[in-house]
Amino acid sequence: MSPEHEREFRDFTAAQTPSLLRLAYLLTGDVHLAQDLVQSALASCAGRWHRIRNREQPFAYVRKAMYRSQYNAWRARRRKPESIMDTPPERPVGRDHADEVAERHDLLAALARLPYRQRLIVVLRHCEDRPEAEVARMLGIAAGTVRSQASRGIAKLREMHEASEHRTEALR
Amino acid sequence: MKPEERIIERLRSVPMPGDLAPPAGFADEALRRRARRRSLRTMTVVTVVCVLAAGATAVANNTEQGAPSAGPSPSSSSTAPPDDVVLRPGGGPRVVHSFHDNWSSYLLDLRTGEYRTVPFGTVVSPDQRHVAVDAEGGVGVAERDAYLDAGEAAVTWIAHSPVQTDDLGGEDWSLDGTKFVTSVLQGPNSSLPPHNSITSHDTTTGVTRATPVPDGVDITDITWAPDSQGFMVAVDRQDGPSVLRSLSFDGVLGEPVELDGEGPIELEGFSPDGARLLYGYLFQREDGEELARTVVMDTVSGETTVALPDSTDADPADVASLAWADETSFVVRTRVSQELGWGPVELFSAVDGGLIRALDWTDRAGFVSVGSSAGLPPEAADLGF
Repeated sequence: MSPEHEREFRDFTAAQTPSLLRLAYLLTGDVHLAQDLVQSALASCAGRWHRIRNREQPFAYVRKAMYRSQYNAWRARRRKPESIMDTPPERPVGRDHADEVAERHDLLAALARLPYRQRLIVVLRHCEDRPEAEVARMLGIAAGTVRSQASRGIAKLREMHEASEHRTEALR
Repeated sequence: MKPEERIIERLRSVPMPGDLAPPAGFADEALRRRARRRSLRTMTVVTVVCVLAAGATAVANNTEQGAPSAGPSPSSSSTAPPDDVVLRPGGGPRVVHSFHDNWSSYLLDLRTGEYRTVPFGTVVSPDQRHVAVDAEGGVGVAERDAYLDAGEAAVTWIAHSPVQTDDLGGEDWSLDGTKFVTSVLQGPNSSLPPHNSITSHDTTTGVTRATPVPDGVDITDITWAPDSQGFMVAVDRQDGPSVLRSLSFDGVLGEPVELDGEGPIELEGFSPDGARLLYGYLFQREDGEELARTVVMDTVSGETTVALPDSTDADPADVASLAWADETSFVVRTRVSQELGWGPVELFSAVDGGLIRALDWTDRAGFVSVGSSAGLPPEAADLGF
Protein backbone atom coordinates (compact mmCIF):
# COMPACT_ATOMS: atom_id res chain seq x y z
CA MET A 1 0.00 0.00 0.00
CA SER A 2 1.43 3.36 -1.02
CA PRO A 3 1.81 6.08 1.62
CA GLU A 4 -0.97 8.04 -0.05
CA HIS A 5 -3.33 5.08 -0.01
CA GLU A 6 -2.44 4.30 3.57
CA ARG A 7 -3.22 7.84 4.59
CA GLU A 8 -6.58 7.64 2.82
CA PHE A 9 -7.30 4.32 4.46
CA ARG A 10 -6.51 5.73 7.90
CA ASP A 11 -8.72 8.75 7.27
CA PHE A 12 -11.52 6.52 6.09
CA THR A 13 -11.17 4.27 9.13
CA ALA A 14 -11.22 7.20 11.52
CA ALA A 15 -14.33 8.67 9.91
CA GLN A 16 -16.40 5.56 9.30
CA THR A 17 -15.54 3.17 12.11
CA PRO A 18 -18.20 4.48 14.52
CA SER A 19 -20.97 3.84 11.98
CA LEU A 20 -19.57 0.42 11.10
CA LEU A 21 -19.28 -0.48 14.77
CA ARG A 22 -22.91 0.37 15.38
CA LEU A 23 -24.03 -1.95 12.62
CA ALA A 24 -21.63 -4.63 13.75
CA TYR A 25 -23.03 -4.41 17.25
CA LEU A 26 -26.56 -4.90 15.95
CA LEU A 27 -25.36 -8.00 14.13
CA THR A 28 -23.26 -9.53 16.87
CA GLY A 29 -24.78 -8.15 20.08
CA ASP A 30 -21.32 -7.97 21.61
CA VAL A 31 -18.87 -5.07 21.76
CA HIS A 32 -15.74 -7.15 21.28
CA LEU A 33 -17.20 -9.26 18.51
CA ALA A 34 -18.35 -6.07 16.82
CA GLN A 35 -14.87 -4.58 16.98
CA ASP A 36 -13.40 -7.79 15.64
CA LEU A 37 -15.89 -7.94 12.79
CA VAL A 38 -15.22 -4.36 11.70
CA GLN A 39 -11.47 -4.78 11.99
CA SER A 40 -11.56 -7.98 10.00
CA ALA A 41 -13.56 -6.30 7.23
CA LEU A 42 -11.21 -3.32 7.21
CA ALA A 43 -8.19 -5.61 7.03
CA SER A 44 -9.76 -7.44 4.14
CA CYS A 45 -10.47 -4.20 2.32
CA ALA A 46 -7.05 -2.70 3.03
CA GLY A 47 -5.58 -5.15 0.56
CA ARG A 48 -7.92 -3.92 -2.15
CA TRP A 49 -7.81 -0.29 -1.19
CA HIS A 50 -6.25 0.79 -4.47
CA ARG A 51 -9.41 -0.41 -6.18
CA ILE A 52 -11.94 0.47 -3.50
CA ARG A 53 -10.78 4.09 -3.24
CA ASN A 54 -11.86 4.73 -6.79
CA ARG A 55 -15.41 3.74 -6.07
CA GLU A 56 -18.02 6.29 -5.32
CA GLN A 57 -18.86 4.77 -2.00
CA PRO A 58 -16.03 2.88 -0.33
CA PHE A 59 -18.17 2.78 2.81
CA ALA A 60 -20.69 0.57 1.02
CA TYR A 61 -17.91 -1.74 -0.08
CA VAL A 62 -16.50 -2.14 3.42
CA ARG A 63 -19.97 -2.57 4.83
CA LYS A 64 -20.67 -5.31 2.35
CA ALA A 65 -17.44 -7.06 3.30
CA MET A 66 -18.53 -6.88 6.92
CA TYR A 67 -21.95 -8.32 6.25
CA ARG A 68 -20.59 -11.14 4.17
CA SER A 69 -17.97 -11.94 6.76
CA GLN A 70 -20.61 -12.15 9.45
CA TYR A 71 -22.93 -14.13 7.23
CA ASN A 72 -20.16 -16.63 6.54
CA ALA A 73 -19.39 -16.89 10.23
CA TRP A 74 -23.02 -17.54 11.04
CA ARG A 75 -23.36 -20.12 8.35
CA ALA A 76 -20.20 -21.87 9.47
CA ARG A 77 -21.71 -22.48 12.87
CA ARG A 78 -25.31 -22.81 11.87
CA ARG A 79 -25.56 -26.39 12.99
CA LYS A 80 -24.16 -25.55 16.39
CA PRO A 81 -26.36 -24.26 19.18
CA GLU A 82 -26.57 -20.51 19.43
CA SER A 83 -25.14 -18.99 22.58
CA ILE A 84 -27.75 -16.40 23.28
CA MET A 85 -29.21 -15.17 26.51
CA ASP A 86 -32.33 -17.06 27.51
CA THR A 87 -33.55 -14.81 30.26
CA PRO A 88 -34.46 -11.19 29.92
CA PRO A 89 -32.12 -8.72 31.59
CA GLU A 90 -33.08 -7.27 34.93
CA ARG A 91 -35.09 -4.14 34.47
CA PRO A 92 -36.13 -1.35 36.73
CA VAL A 93 -39.80 -0.94 37.47
CA GLY A 94 -41.82 2.14 36.61
CA ARG A 95 -42.39 3.82 33.25
CA ASP A 96 -39.57 6.27 33.08
CA HIS A 97 -36.49 6.87 30.98
CA ALA A 98 -34.79 3.83 32.49
CA ASP A 99 -37.76 1.75 31.43
CA GLU A 100 -37.45 3.02 27.89
CA VAL A 101 -33.81 2.04 27.84
CA ALA A 102 -34.61 -1.36 29.30
CA GLU A 103 -37.26 -1.83 26.66
CA ARG A 104 -34.71 -1.22 23.95
CA HIS A 105 -32.33 -3.57 25.70
CA ASP A 106 -35.01 -6.20 25.38
CA LEU A 107 -35.26 -5.39 21.71
CA LEU A 108 -31.58 -6.10 21.20
CA ALA A 109 -31.97 -9.39 23.03
CA ALA A 110 -34.92 -10.24 20.82
CA LEU A 111 -32.89 -9.33 17.74
CA ALA A 112 -30.18 -11.73 18.90
CA ARG A 113 -32.76 -14.52 19.06
CA LEU A 114 -33.69 -14.21 15.40
CA PRO A 115 -32.16 -16.77 13.04
CA TYR A 116 -28.93 -15.35 11.70
CA ARG A 117 -30.17 -14.76 8.17
CA GLN A 118 -33.34 -13.11 9.36
CA ARG A 119 -31.37 -10.94 11.76
CA LEU A 120 -29.07 -9.82 9.00
CA ILE A 121 -31.98 -8.99 6.72
CA VAL A 122 -33.79 -7.07 9.45
CA VAL A 123 -30.68 -5.02 10.17
CA LEU A 124 -30.03 -4.32 6.50
CA ARG A 125 -33.62 -3.49 5.65
CA HIS A 126 -34.82 -1.71 8.72
CA CYS A 127 -31.79 -0.35 10.54
CA GLU A 128 -29.85 0.48 7.40
CA ASP A 129 -32.90 1.05 5.23
CA ARG A 130 -31.28 -0.65 2.25
CA PRO A 131 -33.57 -1.44 -0.71
CA GLU A 132 -34.69 -5.03 -1.05
CA ALA A 133 -32.98 -5.42 -4.40
CA GLU A 134 -29.67 -4.32 -2.92
CA VAL A 135 -29.98 -6.66 0.06
CA ALA A 136 -30.89 -9.48 -2.27
CA ARG A 137 -27.85 -8.81 -4.40
CA MET A 138 -25.60 -8.43 -1.40
CA LEU A 139 -26.65 -11.73 0.11
CA GLY A 140 -27.26 -13.53 -3.14
CA ILE A 141 -30.87 -14.36 -2.38
CA ALA A 142 -34.14 -13.56 -4.08
CA ALA A 143 -35.77 -10.17 -3.49
CA GLY A 144 -38.95 -11.95 -2.47
CA THR A 145 -37.03 -13.82 0.21
CA VAL A 146 -35.66 -10.55 1.54
CA ARG A 147 -39.17 -9.13 1.67
CA SER A 148 -40.75 -12.07 3.40
CA GLN A 149 -37.89 -12.52 5.83
CA ALA A 150 -37.80 -8.83 6.73
CA SER A 151 -41.51 -8.91 7.36
CA ARG A 152 -41.34 -12.09 9.40
CA GLY A 153 -38.36 -10.82 11.36
CA ILE A 154 -40.21 -7.71 12.42
CA ALA A 155 -43.27 -9.75 13.29
CA LYS A 156 -41.15 -12.02 15.48
CA LEU A 157 -39.49 -9.06 17.15
CA ARG A 158 -42.91 -7.68 17.88
CA GLU A 159 -44.06 -10.97 19.38
CA MET A 160 -41.00 -11.30 21.56
CA HIS A 161 -41.15 -7.67 22.57
CA GLU A 162 -44.81 -7.91 23.53
CA ALA A 163 -44.17 -11.06 25.52
CA SER A 164 -41.44 -9.23 27.38
CA GLU A 165 -43.77 -6.33 28.08
CA HIS A 166 -46.37 -8.70 29.46
CA ARG A 167 -43.81 -10.28 31.76
CA THR A 168 -42.89 -6.83 33.02
CA GLU A 169 -46.51 -5.93 33.63
CA ALA A 170 -47.02 -9.16 35.54
CA LEU A 171 -44.09 -8.35 37.80
CA ARG A 172 -45.60 -5.04 38.84
CA MET B 1 -48.28 4.20 14.74
CA LYS B 2 -48.50 0.49 14.01
CA PRO B 3 -46.71 -1.89 16.39
CA GLU B 4 -44.32 -2.97 13.63
CA GLU B 5 -43.47 0.63 12.86
CA ARG B 6 -42.80 1.24 16.53
CA ILE B 7 -40.43 -1.74 16.60
CA ILE B 8 -38.55 -0.42 13.58
CA GLU B 9 -38.30 3.04 15.03
CA ARG B 10 -36.89 1.66 18.24
CA LEU B 11 -34.47 -0.55 16.38
CA ARG B 12 -33.11 2.49 14.61
CA SER B 13 -32.69 4.42 17.81
CA VAL B 14 -31.51 1.63 20.04
CA PRO B 15 -28.79 3.02 22.34
CA MET B 16 -25.31 1.64 21.90
CA PRO B 17 -23.09 0.59 24.80
CA GLY B 18 -20.79 3.31 26.05
CA ASP B 19 -17.69 1.24 25.32
CA LEU B 20 -18.62 0.71 21.68
CA ALA B 21 -15.91 3.04 20.47
CA PRO B 22 -12.97 2.39 18.18
CA PRO B 23 -10.01 1.42 20.35
CA ALA B 24 -6.84 3.43 19.88
CA GLY B 25 -4.86 2.28 16.86
CA PHE B 26 -7.83 0.67 15.15
CA ALA B 27 -6.45 1.41 11.66
CA ASP B 28 -2.98 0.21 12.69
CA GLU B 29 -4.39 -3.10 13.87
CA ALA B 30 -6.37 -3.53 10.64
CA LEU B 31 -3.21 -2.95 8.63
CA ARG B 32 -1.29 -5.37 10.85
CA ARG B 33 -3.96 -8.00 10.30
CA ARG B 34 -3.65 -7.53 6.58
CA ALA B 35 0.12 -7.87 6.82
CA ARG B 36 -0.25 -11.08 8.83
CA ARG B 37 -2.62 -12.49 6.23
CA ARG B 38 -0.23 -11.62 3.42
CA SER B 39 2.64 -13.17 5.32
CA LEU B 40 0.69 -16.35 5.94
CA ARG B 41 -0.39 -16.50 2.32
CA THR B 42 3.17 -15.98 1.12
CA MET B 43 4.44 -18.73 3.40
CA THR B 44 1.73 -21.05 2.11
CA VAL B 45 2.58 -20.31 -1.51
CA VAL B 46 6.30 -20.77 -0.87
CA THR B 47 5.62 -24.07 0.84
CA VAL B 48 3.42 -25.28 -1.99
CA VAL B 49 5.99 -24.22 -4.61
CA CYS B 50 8.75 -25.99 -2.70
CA VAL B 51 6.70 -29.16 -2.42
CA LEU B 52 5.80 -29.05 -6.10
CA ALA B 53 9.38 -28.35 -7.07
CA ALA B 54 10.61 -31.22 -4.93
CA GLY B 55 8.02 -33.51 -6.48
CA ALA B 56 8.92 -32.44 -9.99
CA THR B 57 12.61 -32.98 -9.29
CA ALA B 58 11.90 -36.44 -7.92
CA VAL B 59 9.89 -37.33 -10.99
CA ALA B 60 12.59 -36.00 -13.28
CA ASN B 61 15.25 -37.98 -11.44
CA ASN B 62 13.21 -41.14 -11.72
CA THR B 63 12.50 -40.76 -15.41
CA GLU B 64 15.84 -39.44 -16.55
CA GLN B 65 18.24 -41.48 -14.52
CA GLY B 66 21.80 -40.39 -15.07
CA ALA B 67 20.86 -37.28 -16.96
CA PRO B 68 22.68 -34.16 -15.90
CA SER B 69 20.78 -31.78 -13.75
CA ALA B 70 19.02 -29.22 -15.83
CA GLY B 71 19.12 -26.71 -13.02
CA PRO B 72 16.15 -24.73 -11.82
CA SER B 73 13.41 -24.46 -14.37
CA PRO B 74 11.44 -21.26 -14.82
CA SER B 75 8.64 -21.13 -12.32
CA SER B 76 5.22 -21.14 -13.82
CA SER B 77 3.31 -18.86 -11.52
CA SER B 78 -0.20 -20.15 -11.11
CA THR B 79 -2.64 -17.30 -11.17
CA ALA B 80 -6.01 -17.37 -9.44
CA PRO B 81 -8.98 -17.80 -11.77
CA PRO B 82 -10.21 -14.42 -12.91
CA ASP B 83 -13.38 -13.09 -11.33
CA ASP B 84 -15.20 -13.19 -14.62
CA VAL B 85 -14.82 -16.90 -15.21
CA VAL B 86 -17.65 -17.83 -17.48
CA LEU B 87 -19.73 -20.86 -18.08
CA ARG B 88 -18.98 -22.68 -21.34
CA PRO B 89 -21.38 -25.63 -21.50
CA GLY B 90 -20.72 -26.28 -25.17
CA GLY B 91 -23.71 -24.86 -27.00
CA GLY B 92 -27.46 -24.81 -26.90
CA PRO B 93 -30.54 -22.61 -27.20
CA ARG B 94 -30.06 -20.78 -23.87
CA VAL B 95 -27.29 -18.65 -22.44
CA VAL B 96 -26.53 -16.75 -19.26
CA HIS B 97 -26.99 -13.11 -20.22
CA SER B 98 -25.95 -11.48 -16.98
CA PHE B 99 -24.71 -12.47 -13.59
CA HIS B 100 -23.03 -10.99 -10.61
CA ASP B 101 -20.72 -12.31 -8.00
CA ASN B 102 -19.95 -10.85 -4.61
CA TRP B 103 -18.45 -7.69 -5.98
CA SER B 104 -19.13 -7.15 -9.66
CA SER B 105 -21.86 -7.33 -12.26
CA TYR B 106 -21.30 -8.83 -15.69
CA LEU B 107 -23.23 -8.55 -18.92
CA LEU B 108 -22.82 -10.61 -22.05
CA ASP B 109 -21.80 -8.58 -25.10
CA LEU B 110 -23.72 -10.29 -27.88
CA ARG B 111 -21.54 -8.62 -30.51
CA THR B 112 -18.32 -10.22 -29.31
CA GLY B 113 -19.55 -13.10 -27.19
CA GLU B 114 -17.65 -11.82 -24.16
CA TYR B 115 -18.83 -11.07 -20.67
CA ARG B 116 -17.92 -7.59 -19.57
CA THR B 117 -17.96 -5.87 -16.24
CA VAL B 118 -20.66 -3.25 -15.94
CA PRO B 119 -21.11 -0.61 -13.27
CA PHE B 120 -24.53 -1.69 -12.01
CA GLY B 121 -26.56 -4.84 -11.73
CA THR B 122 -28.60 -5.42 -14.87
CA VAL B 123 -31.81 -7.12 -15.80
CA VAL B 124 -31.98 -7.88 -19.50
CA SER B 125 -35.27 -7.23 -21.28
CA PRO B 126 -37.07 -10.16 -22.92
CA ASP B 127 -36.06 -8.89 -26.37
CA GLN B 128 -32.48 -8.68 -25.03
CA ARG B 129 -31.96 -5.23 -26.48
CA HIS B 130 -32.39 -3.23 -23.30
CA VAL B 131 -31.30 -3.49 -19.72
CA ALA B 132 -32.81 -2.15 -16.55
CA VAL B 133 -30.04 -1.10 -14.21
CA ASP B 134 -30.29 -1.03 -10.49
CA ALA B 135 -27.95 1.30 -8.70
CA GLU B 136 -27.86 2.37 -5.11
CA GLY B 137 -30.91 4.52 -4.73
CA GLY B 138 -31.93 4.58 -8.36
CA VAL B 139 -33.27 2.62 -11.29
CA GLY B 140 -32.59 3.32 -14.93
CA VAL B 141 -32.83 1.90 -18.40
CA ALA B 142 -30.33 1.71 -21.23
CA GLU B 143 -29.84 0.14 -24.59
CA ARG B 144 -27.75 -2.94 -24.05
CA ASP B 145 -24.93 -2.20 -26.46
CA ALA B 146 -24.74 1.44 -25.45
CA TYR B 147 -24.51 0.44 -21.81
CA LEU B 148 -21.69 -1.95 -22.58
CA ASP B 149 -19.85 0.77 -24.49
CA ALA B 150 -20.50 3.82 -22.36
CA GLY B 151 -21.47 2.49 -18.95
CA GLU B 152 -23.38 4.87 -16.73
CA ALA B 153 -23.39 7.58 -19.40
CA ALA B 154 -25.81 5.47 -21.43
CA VAL B 155 -28.31 5.12 -18.59
CA THR B 156 -31.53 7.11 -18.46
CA TRP B 157 -32.43 7.32 -14.81
CA ILE B 158 -36.08 6.74 -14.06
CA ALA B 159 -36.22 6.74 -10.31
CA HIS B 160 -33.85 8.27 -7.83
CA SER B 161 -33.44 8.05 -4.14
CA PRO B 162 -35.38 8.28 -1.88
CA VAL B 163 -37.71 6.17 -4.02
CA GLN B 164 -37.41 2.57 -2.97
CA THR B 165 -36.05 0.33 -5.66
CA ASP B 166 -37.64 -2.83 -4.43
CA ASP B 167 -38.76 -5.58 -6.69
CA LEU B 168 -36.41 -5.07 -9.56
CA GLY B 169 -35.73 -8.62 -10.54
CA GLY B 170 -35.66 -11.01 -13.43
CA GLU B 171 -39.41 -11.13 -13.53
CA ASP B 172 -39.90 -7.42 -13.49
CA TRP B 173 -39.70 -6.72 -17.18
CA SER B 174 -43.16 -7.20 -18.61
CA LEU B 175 -43.41 -10.21 -20.89
CA ASP B 176 -43.79 -7.96 -23.94
CA GLY B 177 -40.51 -6.30 -23.05
CA THR B 178 -41.82 -2.75 -23.00
CA LYS B 179 -42.21 -2.01 -19.31
CA PHE B 180 -40.50 -2.69 -16.06
CA VAL B 181 -41.23 -2.09 -12.43
CA THR B 182 -39.14 0.66 -10.92
CA SER B 183 -40.36 0.67 -7.38
CA VAL B 184 -42.84 -0.52 -4.88
CA LEU B 185 -43.56 2.32 -2.54
CA GLN B 186 -44.43 1.31 0.94
CA GLY B 187 -43.98 4.48 2.89
CA PRO B 188 -41.26 4.84 5.49
CA ASN B 189 -41.41 1.19 6.51
CA SER B 190 -41.08 -0.60 3.23
CA SER B 191 -41.59 -4.35 3.20
CA LEU B 192 -44.48 -3.94 5.57
CA PRO B 193 -47.91 -4.23 4.08
CA PRO B 194 -49.88 -2.52 2.79
CA HIS B 195 -48.00 -1.38 -0.26
CA ASN B 196 -48.96 2.11 -1.29
CA SER B 197 -48.21 2.00 -4.96
CA ILE B 198 -46.30 0.17 -7.65
CA THR B 199 -44.40 2.31 -10.10
CA SER B 200 -43.64 1.07 -13.59
CA HIS B 201 -41.94 2.61 -16.57
CA ASP B 202 -42.92 2.16 -20.21
CA THR B 203 -39.82 2.28 -22.38
CA THR B 204 -41.84 2.84 -25.55
CA THR B 205 -43.66 5.93 -24.31
CA GLY B 206 -41.28 7.11 -21.63
CA VAL B 207 -44.19 7.28 -19.23
CA THR B 208 -43.76 6.30 -15.59
CA ARG B 209 -46.99 5.27 -13.98
CA ALA B 210 -47.95 4.76 -10.34
CA THR B 211 -50.50 2.05 -9.67
CA PRO B 212 -52.31 2.49 -6.35
CA VAL B 213 -52.71 -0.56 -4.17
CA PRO B 214 -55.92 -0.87 -2.18
CA ASP B 215 -55.64 -0.66 1.58
CA GLY B 216 -56.21 -3.72 3.69
CA VAL B 217 -54.63 -6.17 1.26
CA ASP B 218 -51.52 -7.94 2.48
CA ILE B 219 -49.53 -8.21 -0.71
CA THR B 220 -46.37 -10.28 -0.40
CA ASP B 221 -45.13 -10.11 -3.98
CA ILE B 222 -45.98 -8.83 -7.41
CA THR B 223 -45.24 -9.81 -10.97
CA TRP B 224 -46.40 -8.70 -14.39
CA ALA B 225 -49.65 -10.09 -15.75
CA PRO B 226 -49.13 -12.34 -18.79
CA ASP B 227 -50.63 -9.69 -21.10
CA SER B 228 -48.31 -6.99 -19.70
CA GLN B 229 -51.36 -4.77 -19.08
CA GLY B 230 -51.23 -4.87 -15.31
CA PHE B 231 -49.89 -6.96 -12.46
CA MET B 232 -50.58 -10.14 -10.58
CA VAL B 233 -50.15 -9.99 -6.83
CA ALA B 234 -49.83 -12.65 -4.16
CA VAL B 235 -52.02 -11.87 -1.18
CA ASP B 236 -51.45 -13.33 2.25
CA ARG B 237 -54.69 -14.20 4.07
CA GLN B 238 -54.83 -14.85 7.76
CA ASP B 239 -57.63 -17.39 7.39
CA GLY B 240 -56.37 -19.72 4.70
CA PRO B 241 -54.10 -20.28 1.74
CA SER B 242 -52.60 -17.29 0.01
CA VAL B 243 -54.25 -16.18 -3.21
CA LEU B 244 -53.27 -14.73 -6.56
CA ARG B 245 -55.16 -11.68 -7.79
CA SER B 246 -54.83 -9.43 -10.79
CA LEU B 247 -54.19 -5.75 -10.23
CA SER B 248 -54.98 -3.33 -13.03
CA PHE B 249 -52.92 -0.22 -13.66
CA ASP B 250 -55.79 1.67 -12.04
CA GLY B 251 -55.48 -0.32 -8.85
CA VAL B 252 -58.51 -2.59 -9.24
CA LEU B 253 -58.11 -6.08 -7.84
CA GLY B 254 -59.45 -9.15 -9.64
CA GLU B 255 -60.98 -12.33 -8.29
CA PRO B 256 -58.75 -14.48 -6.05
CA VAL B 257 -57.27 -17.78 -7.18
CA GLU B 258 -55.95 -20.00 -4.41
CA LEU B 259 -52.26 -20.81 -4.34
CA ASP B 260 -50.45 -23.59 -2.58
CA GLY B 261 -49.05 -22.59 0.77
CA GLU B 262 -49.86 -20.09 3.43
CA GLY B 263 -47.97 -16.97 4.35
CA PRO B 264 -45.69 -14.94 2.10
CA ILE B 265 -45.60 -16.18 -1.47
CA GLU B 266 -42.71 -15.25 -3.74
CA LEU B 267 -43.84 -14.85 -7.31
CA GLU B 268 -41.06 -15.65 -9.75
CA GLY B 269 -43.09 -14.78 -12.80
CA PHE B 270 -45.00 -16.21 -15.73
CA SER B 271 -43.37 -18.24 -18.44
CA PRO B 272 -42.69 -16.24 -21.63
CA ASP B 273 -45.90 -17.61 -23.19
CA GLY B 274 -47.89 -16.86 -20.04
CA ALA B 275 -49.04 -20.47 -19.71
CA ARG B 276 -47.35 -21.18 -16.38
CA LEU B 277 -46.60 -19.37 -13.16
CA LEU B 278 -43.50 -20.11 -11.13
CA TYR B 279 -43.61 -19.30 -7.45
CA GLY B 280 -42.21 -20.35 -4.13
CA TYR B 281 -42.95 -20.22 -0.47
CA LEU B 282 -41.53 -21.22 2.86
CA PHE B 283 -43.29 -23.62 5.13
CA GLN B 284 -42.67 -25.26 8.45
CA ARG B 285 -42.43 -28.99 8.74
CA GLU B 286 -43.92 -30.75 11.76
CA ASP B 287 -40.54 -30.81 13.48
CA GLY B 288 -40.34 -27.03 13.12
CA GLU B 289 -37.74 -26.93 10.34
CA GLU B 290 -38.42 -24.31 7.72
CA LEU B 291 -38.21 -25.42 4.12
CA ALA B 292 -38.60 -23.80 0.74
CA ARG B 293 -40.90 -25.18 -1.92
CA THR B 294 -40.92 -24.20 -5.57
CA VAL B 295 -43.99 -24.94 -7.68
CA VAL B 296 -45.31 -24.37 -11.19
CA MET B 297 -48.98 -23.58 -11.69
CA ASP B 298 -50.84 -24.08 -14.94
CA THR B 299 -52.58 -20.76 -15.56
CA VAL B 300 -55.46 -22.32 -17.48
CA SER B 301 -56.46 -24.98 -14.99
CA GLY B 302 -55.13 -23.20 -11.91
CA GLU B 303 -53.59 -26.45 -10.75
CA THR B 304 -50.09 -27.06 -9.49
CA THR B 305 -48.41 -29.20 -12.11
CA VAL B 306 -44.86 -29.31 -10.76
CA ALA B 307 -43.47 -29.15 -7.25
CA LEU B 308 -39.74 -29.49 -6.86
CA PRO B 309 -38.58 -31.73 -4.01
CA ASP B 310 -38.32 -29.77 -0.78
CA SER B 311 -34.80 -29.40 0.40
CA THR B 312 -34.26 -30.70 3.89
CA ASP B 313 -30.60 -29.85 4.05
CA ALA B 314 -30.10 -26.40 2.62
CA ASP B 315 -31.07 -23.21 4.28
CA PRO B 316 -34.46 -22.23 2.83
CA ALA B 317 -33.10 -18.99 1.46
CA ASP B 318 -30.38 -20.86 -0.36
CA VAL B 319 -32.65 -21.43 -3.30
CA ALA B 320 -31.36 -18.12 -4.42
CA SER B 321 -31.84 -17.71 -8.11
CA LEU B 322 -34.94 -18.82 -9.87
CA ALA B 323 -35.99 -17.68 -13.32
CA TRP B 324 -37.62 -18.80 -16.52
CA ALA B 325 -35.20 -19.88 -19.22
CA ASP B 326 -37.86 -20.36 -21.91
CA GLU B 327 -41.50 -21.47 -22.22
CA THR B 328 -40.93 -24.92 -20.76
CA SER B 329 -37.94 -24.69 -18.48
CA PHE B 330 -36.57 -22.67 -15.62
CA VAL B 331 -33.25 -22.41 -13.85
CA VAL B 332 -32.55 -22.80 -10.17
CA ARG B 333 -29.34 -21.78 -8.49
CA THR B 334 -28.68 -23.01 -5.00
CA ARG B 335 -25.98 -22.21 -2.52
CA VAL B 336 -24.47 -25.26 -1.01
CA SER B 337 -21.24 -24.58 0.80
CA GLN B 338 -20.64 -22.92 4.10
CA GLU B 339 -18.54 -20.29 2.43
CA LEU B 340 -21.51 -19.13 0.38
CA GLY B 341 -20.44 -21.46 -2.35
CA TRP B 342 -22.86 -21.77 -5.21
CA GLY B 343 -24.00 -25.05 -6.59
CA PRO B 344 -24.58 -25.89 -10.22
CA VAL B 345 -27.00 -24.03 -12.43
CA GLU B 346 -29.84 -26.50 -12.71
CA LEU B 347 -32.32 -26.44 -15.54
CA PHE B 348 -35.69 -28.00 -14.71
CA SER B 349 -38.59 -28.92 -16.92
CA ALA B 350 -41.70 -26.90 -16.17
CA VAL B 351 -43.73 -29.71 -17.72
CA ASP B 352 -42.79 -32.59 -15.45
CA GLY B 353 -40.31 -31.11 -12.97
CA GLY B 354 -37.47 -33.28 -14.24
CA LEU B 355 -33.89 -32.09 -14.13
CA ILE B 356 -32.91 -31.36 -17.72
CA ARG B 357 -29.35 -30.38 -17.11
CA ALA B 358 -27.00 -29.38 -14.31
CA LEU B 359 -24.23 -27.03 -15.32
CA ASP B 360 -21.12 -27.11 -13.23
CA TRP B 361 -20.64 -23.55 -12.14
CA THR B 362 -20.04 -24.40 -8.54
CA ASP B 363 -18.59 -21.69 -6.36
CA ARG B 364 -18.34 -19.19 -9.15
CA ALA B 365 -20.87 -16.47 -9.71
CA GLY B 366 -24.11 -15.78 -7.91
CA PHE B 367 -27.27 -14.69 -9.62
CA VAL B 368 -27.78 -15.54 -13.24
CA SER B 369 -30.14 -14.18 -15.83
CA VAL B 370 -30.85 -16.68 -18.58
CA GLY B 371 -32.36 -16.19 -22.02
CA SER B 372 -32.13 -17.21 -25.63
CA SER B 373 -28.68 -17.72 -27.12
CA ALA B 374 -29.87 -16.49 -30.52
CA GLY B 375 -27.57 -13.80 -31.86
CA LEU B 376 -24.37 -15.10 -30.31
CA PRO B 377 -21.42 -14.93 -32.69
CA PRO B 378 -20.25 -18.37 -33.88
CA GLU B 379 -17.03 -18.20 -31.89
CA ALA B 380 -19.06 -17.84 -28.68
CA ALA B 381 -21.57 -20.56 -29.44
CA ASP B 382 -20.12 -22.72 -26.68
CA LEU B 383 -21.56 -20.31 -24.11
CA GLY B 384 -25.00 -21.74 -24.83
CA PHE B 385 -26.63 -24.71 -23.18
